[in-house]
Amino acid sequence: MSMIPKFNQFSLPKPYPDEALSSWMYRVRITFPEPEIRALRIMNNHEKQFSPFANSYANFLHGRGKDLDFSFEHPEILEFANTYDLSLEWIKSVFSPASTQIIPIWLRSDYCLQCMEESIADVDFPVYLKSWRLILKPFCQKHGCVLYSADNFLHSSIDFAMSIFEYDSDRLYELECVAERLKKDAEVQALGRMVMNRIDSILSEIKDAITHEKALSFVMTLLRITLMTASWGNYSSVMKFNVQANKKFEGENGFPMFYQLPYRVTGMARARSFYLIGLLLGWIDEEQAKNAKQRDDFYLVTSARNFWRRVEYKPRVRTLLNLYSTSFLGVSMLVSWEYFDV
Amino acid sequence: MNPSQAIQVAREILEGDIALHYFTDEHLNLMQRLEESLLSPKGEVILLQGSAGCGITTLLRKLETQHPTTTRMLKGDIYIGYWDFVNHLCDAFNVRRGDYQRNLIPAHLLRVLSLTKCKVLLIDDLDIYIANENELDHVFSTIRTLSEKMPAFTVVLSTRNEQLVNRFFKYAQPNWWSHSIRQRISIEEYYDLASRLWDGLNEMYSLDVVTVNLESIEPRNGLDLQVANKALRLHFVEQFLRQQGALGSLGDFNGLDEYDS
Repeated sequence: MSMIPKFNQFSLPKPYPDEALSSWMYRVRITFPEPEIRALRIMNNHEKQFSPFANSYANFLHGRGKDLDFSFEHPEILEFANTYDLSLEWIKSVFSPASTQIIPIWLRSDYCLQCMEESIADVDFPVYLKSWRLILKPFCQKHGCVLYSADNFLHSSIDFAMSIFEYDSDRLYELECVAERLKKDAEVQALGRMVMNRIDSILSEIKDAITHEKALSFVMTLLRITLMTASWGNYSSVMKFNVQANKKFEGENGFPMFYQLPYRVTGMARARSFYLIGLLLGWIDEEQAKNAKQRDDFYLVTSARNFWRRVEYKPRVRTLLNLYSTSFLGVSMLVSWEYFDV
Repeated sequence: MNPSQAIQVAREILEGDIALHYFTDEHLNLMQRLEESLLSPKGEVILLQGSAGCGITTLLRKLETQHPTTTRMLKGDIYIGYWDFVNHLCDAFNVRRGDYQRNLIPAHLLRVLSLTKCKVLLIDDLDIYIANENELDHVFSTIRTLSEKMPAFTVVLSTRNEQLVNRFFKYAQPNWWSHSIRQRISIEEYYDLASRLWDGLNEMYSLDVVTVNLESIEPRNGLDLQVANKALRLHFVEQFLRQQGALGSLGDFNGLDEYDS
């Protein structure tokens, strides 16, 4: 084992700004596969049989189904840190998420193609960014565009970004279509982004942890309300609404769906949710909304009143909103609430 | 410098890489032309020919280490015979080939090539990437397609396979050129090499070794680049050790050059 070169964070490829741990792990292993391979080469059969090292190397090849972005105590991440002589504290300090509202690994699907292309120019690899896993960030932090959604089978792979970049002419055509459709909808998205930024700045202003948590829950509840089945008409022009995943809970009753949908929908759908939240909070007025709306987007509401009319009466929702109200964000701010609050 | 340090430096000089720029004017011109092509890639395809041991591999490795961000050496020594040329290209540029038809260039390889800063591909010994006869044509048609689609994509390759050289000229475009690296040198070039090499070594190691009497160290086996290089380096090292007074502490001078025995 003494022949294994010891690496540290200074000799390995530098993590790209905002890069997720799984993406960096993949790059490190591609660039410096030596520790495992060399060690395995110098071992005799007996040593190999009893080496935890050989087993863990075999496990590296089966990295699917584990959250290697954020679950830092996962054995594979510990093994990785050990092999490359990295401290777990350093890994946590660099790769921790910026928010607690994270999309589970098995529903991970969002990415920004522009960011990936820029990273190829910079570091020769498409990288996956950790901010794409945040529920309240359906827009790219750098380019401001709505995040694209990948196919469902990519969700848990460690080489997510590499797989995104494996395409043929059919997929090129698909990407062109997505870009075209999103471009048509740009004004509604711009309003959604404004709402997201405003919510972001309100949340960052709150210093008290409990109030912050309540305000966050208020936003999440609004997100859930705007994604309720009754409101799905608003998403008829969104290219991809939900991430394909296990349909076990769907159709049983609305309760699990109510809680799960923000996690299960694509970045494009969440971007539109923010537009609807803007209407509900009165941050987008009716005229603005009418100007932004596409002519053929028939079912998209342009006022809070029409939104509340469509949504059924659900006392639980009212209770939740009342429960999470704070002076920063509360039911008193909701426009046309009287249609709902009966 | 104490004797043991001097012996260490002597070893380094003897084992140092062959530096083509110390050789003839012709080598010097080639180096300059290659440097230009690497600094501003113009989509050239350059074939380097030469007999075994004439320094092509060293040259390509040197180009790679001097221009790490703009050049990429083709890897793929593990997968000989199983992959086709496009697979090797994908591997070099960190692209997944995917499950597509053989010999078809994936769309995303072109995208990655247009994005990356590595515009120069170095291929040392193209023969090893050839799995079968069909590949002989396929390699150069692929390179031609890539250089048509990516105007800056430059390839520097070497081969000693006659069939591949013929294919190179068959597929050649106006900006494709080849160069044969000469191994035999004339006596004048040998004297030039001596002065360049010794000056270069003095400069590299900040030494002031004076070397004279070239006739006495004329290589016996003819004026071959490798032989001349080795003989001149040995002479330089001998003078250097004598100057440092380390020759006495070295029991057997031949022991310095472990490859000579």
